Amino acid sequence: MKKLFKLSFWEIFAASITALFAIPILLILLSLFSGFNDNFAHIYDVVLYEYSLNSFYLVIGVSILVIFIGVITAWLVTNYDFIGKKIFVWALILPLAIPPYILAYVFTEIFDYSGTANNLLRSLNLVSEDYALPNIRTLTGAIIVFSFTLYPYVYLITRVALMSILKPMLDSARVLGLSKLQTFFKVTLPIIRPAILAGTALVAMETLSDFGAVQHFALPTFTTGIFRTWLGMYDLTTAMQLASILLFVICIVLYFERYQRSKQRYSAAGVKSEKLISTKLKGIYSYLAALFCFLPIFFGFVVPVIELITWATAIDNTFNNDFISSSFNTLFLAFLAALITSGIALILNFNARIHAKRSSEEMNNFISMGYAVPGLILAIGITQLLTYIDYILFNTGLIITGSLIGLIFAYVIKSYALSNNVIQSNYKQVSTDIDDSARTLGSNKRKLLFDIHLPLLKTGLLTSFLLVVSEVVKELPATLILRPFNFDTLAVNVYLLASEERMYEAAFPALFIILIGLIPIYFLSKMIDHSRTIDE
Amino acid sequence: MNNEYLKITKLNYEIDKKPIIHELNLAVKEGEFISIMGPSGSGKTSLLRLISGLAKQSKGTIKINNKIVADDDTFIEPENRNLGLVVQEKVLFPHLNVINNIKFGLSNGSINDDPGYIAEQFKITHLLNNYPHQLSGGEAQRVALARTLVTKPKILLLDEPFNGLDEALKQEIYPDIQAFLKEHNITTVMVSHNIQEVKELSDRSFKLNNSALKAI
Amino acid sequence: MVISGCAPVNEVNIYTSRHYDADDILYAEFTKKTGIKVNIISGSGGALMERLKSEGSNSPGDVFFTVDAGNLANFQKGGYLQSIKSQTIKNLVPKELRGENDEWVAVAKRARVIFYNPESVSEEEIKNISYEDLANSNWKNRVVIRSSSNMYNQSLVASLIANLGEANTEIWAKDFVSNFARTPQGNDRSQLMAVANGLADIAIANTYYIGIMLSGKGGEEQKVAASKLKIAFPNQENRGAHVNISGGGILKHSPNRDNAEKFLEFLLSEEAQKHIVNNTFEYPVLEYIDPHPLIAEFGTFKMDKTSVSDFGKYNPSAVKLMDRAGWK
Repeated sequence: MKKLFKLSFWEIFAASITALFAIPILLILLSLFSGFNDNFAHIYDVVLYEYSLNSFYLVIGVSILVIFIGVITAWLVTNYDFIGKKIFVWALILPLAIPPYILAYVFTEIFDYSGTANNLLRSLNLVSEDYALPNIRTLTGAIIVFSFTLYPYVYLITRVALMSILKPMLDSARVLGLSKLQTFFKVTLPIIRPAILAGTALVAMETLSDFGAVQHFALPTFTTGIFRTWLGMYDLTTAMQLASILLFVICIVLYFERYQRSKQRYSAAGVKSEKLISTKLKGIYSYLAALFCFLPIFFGFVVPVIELITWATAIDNTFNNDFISSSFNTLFLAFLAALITSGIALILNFNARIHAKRSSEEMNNFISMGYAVPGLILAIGITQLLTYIDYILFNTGLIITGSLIGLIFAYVIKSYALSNNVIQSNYKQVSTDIDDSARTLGSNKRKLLFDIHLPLLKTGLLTSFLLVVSEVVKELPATLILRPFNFDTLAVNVYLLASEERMYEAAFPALFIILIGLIPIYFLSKMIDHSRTIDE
Repeated sequence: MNNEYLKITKLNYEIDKKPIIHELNLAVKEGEFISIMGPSGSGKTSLLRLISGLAKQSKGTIKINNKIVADDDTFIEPENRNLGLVVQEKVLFPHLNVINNIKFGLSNGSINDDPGYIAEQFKITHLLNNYPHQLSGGEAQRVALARTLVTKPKILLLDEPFNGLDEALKQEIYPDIQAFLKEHNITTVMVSHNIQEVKELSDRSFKLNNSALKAI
Repeated sequence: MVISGCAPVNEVNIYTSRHYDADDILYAEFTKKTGIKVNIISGSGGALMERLKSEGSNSPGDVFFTVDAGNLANFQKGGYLQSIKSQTIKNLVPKELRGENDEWVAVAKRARVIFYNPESVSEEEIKNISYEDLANSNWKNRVVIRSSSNMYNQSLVASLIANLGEANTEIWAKDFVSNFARTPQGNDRSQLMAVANGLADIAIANTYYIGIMLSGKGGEEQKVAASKLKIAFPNQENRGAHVNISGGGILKHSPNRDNAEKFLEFLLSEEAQKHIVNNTFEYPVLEYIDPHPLIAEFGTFKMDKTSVSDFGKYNPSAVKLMDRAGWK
């Protein structure tokens, strides 16, 4: 007998959201069918090779460096005891609070010809009057900047993986006849390798997505090329074609990352951190370990923050009207985006839970890939989408709001994965038996969601809200492009001021951004410091 | 007295193409208390889920009081079947206190019974303001039962509800339950592996083995 | 900020890509004088163009106000502007400072000149210097200029193409780029700072920056740096120093056309010209008005009369040429 074709409201909603999220990307890929004009031919002939080479070297260089910094520090703090280790454990993720473009601006100012570093060297008479440290605005400089601000991803993921390797596990291997070295290669490495690679892939995607830092360094990469082609050459189509190429590369990295993550099969079920037996380091070794951990934090967080504070306090007029209106705009956008993202994540997870169909989960997974798409590319796709919509709507005054909607849309796509992760894991803690009881007691689905799930998911929702807020506050390229006119955010302010070499004025808004960037740090530190409680 | 208050005909159910329940027939009289025993994995819990509508049968018919609640053309959602389900896991809503847990099912438009009365029947009146995490295992199960029964379900489904309670507690609860069920003529289907319990509470009992139901 | 399209308010809607705070005073003055309300939409040239594209014939925009003839030419080419009819305006602005079909006019001028440190550059080297000379090998490692993605440089190269032809300009560009002291980075001010700090000996930048820096508006450090520098006006023996403009045009579907023209006339009035001169340190279009003293002290100079609309014409070729020459 034929079943009636019936889809619930929740399923339709989930499917619509999925389709909607896919549109900006589709529009960009559509440009590949528009034919390649003169500009593209020119780019192909003259600069595409350079964009590719730079992007390639950048990613390789950064990957090597972040593995070096991230893995060794994670190894040190997990397996050894040394001076300051307890602080280093969480302090090592502090650089995450500073978005790459801000670190780029700060380092440029510091290491420029007449910047703090050179002045310091000269005043200490360590160098001659003419001497200057090598120019930081180069590929090497960019590699260093990205590494210092992104290594925490690798550190974090490696640390968590290492925490699951208990001494008894290693002891068993030894008893079974493996030497120390063999144990490392046959037990430890297979467990942490997927984690390291997943973390590095994440770093690679962040690096490829960046626009602010590479532009400031005058490094021709895909993102600067796309930006330049569109806004400098007034050629949106060619810009989208370039964007498609970048998307293709990112896709590869993304699948690599997901593949690695699926290989992470360690069960970190309730490991009390005291149970991790670590070797005590003595004497010089203790200091060396501490130094190695200290340096990344020093350059990636301490130095920039101190410099920014110095600059901010050196000038008056920090609390001017611009700052106030930008702060208001920033927080308004962030709150709105956080509410919408968390709401969508809630509904989609609810849908996956009550229908338990493969398709619901796959939709969720698909949308979660949004974090990998560079903000710049999202903005271009959405601009195109808005142009089509505006065409239909004429000029009903919705142009201004349309732009804001487009911007929020970009934010939601970008931060959905974050929100989804948090809400999903919170949901897992709510037993489905509760759902069953509620339903036999007469609740329909809506009542189940609002009366039962919502109160039990308060923590997850709040966490999701805060994390999305901090993501949005830091965002730059999409905001630059999609923001309505005369509507600046703090990130945009910092960008504009830095482009005009007015770092002193940019310092205060930059500090504000970093402050908000500390929110996720707080949550992340709980993840690596405390144990997960074993269920009673 | 309806001889076939709950009537299940030729019920089939599979999970991932594996048959769990095959051509199962069952008829329960109104007010009767029947038990189903059987090895784990035999489909006892699935049977309860099918009756309650939390799972959908692949073939077959389920009728309650002569109305079809599930067959090839019809499927009534669990929230509309007016049944009760109590399982062994902790399922009290953690964010609501006891009285609100009990009242939960009442706001859904079913015929209500005075919560105070049922709290008395199950001897939990002194716990009404407590939260689930403050209750012992036995107290929690009483509350779970109270919450379900206050909605006056037509059929009560019990899935090893007394598992994990010690003997003394069980001996305390059984009479209260039995009394309540008899007084309100509630048809009950219980799944249990405890033969004592089955003997003490049931009118009839069955064994579910190899997807077939056999009276014992 | 909000635009009301159809209410009978006496207003003019200006789409501007100039980011000078001083402009706000100009707008206020205009309103005071004429009673016409001014609404501003600001953004980059490209963004404004996208907006106009999507607004279509319903666009409430009246005036497009921007820097660089290249930007104006792009808008004109895209069909977003309409001809200016006002005879007043046409009388005040010479032909070479007007766009094709009179679709836009200059309201201020700036020259892109050579700034140098007299302590590291000799008199003979700098005397009668031309842009073309900058490709000579004696300038190796001594030149700084900002990125090729900047419109000012594109217009400079476009003017070279107009005067020397594309092939010659490309040869020049390759040698010019090989004289850079560093990969192009930062903006014009950054180049001037680099020369003041001894990183390079000459910088190419717009004239008004020295005014801003000397005035102290950018801070003490910039003022000190600027005082070390001198200006050399290139090509005084032939066509003159490269001149670019700030300018405006009337948008094609302007709902307040008369007000738009009034605004442009206002920009060419004596008081507006004086304001521009004194606040953004540009050169006036009205010949009889004096430039700001800080700028004037660098002397008068011969200005290149190449039609600024050529900048737009040769812009696409200029961009590609600069790419081929390796000018980042």
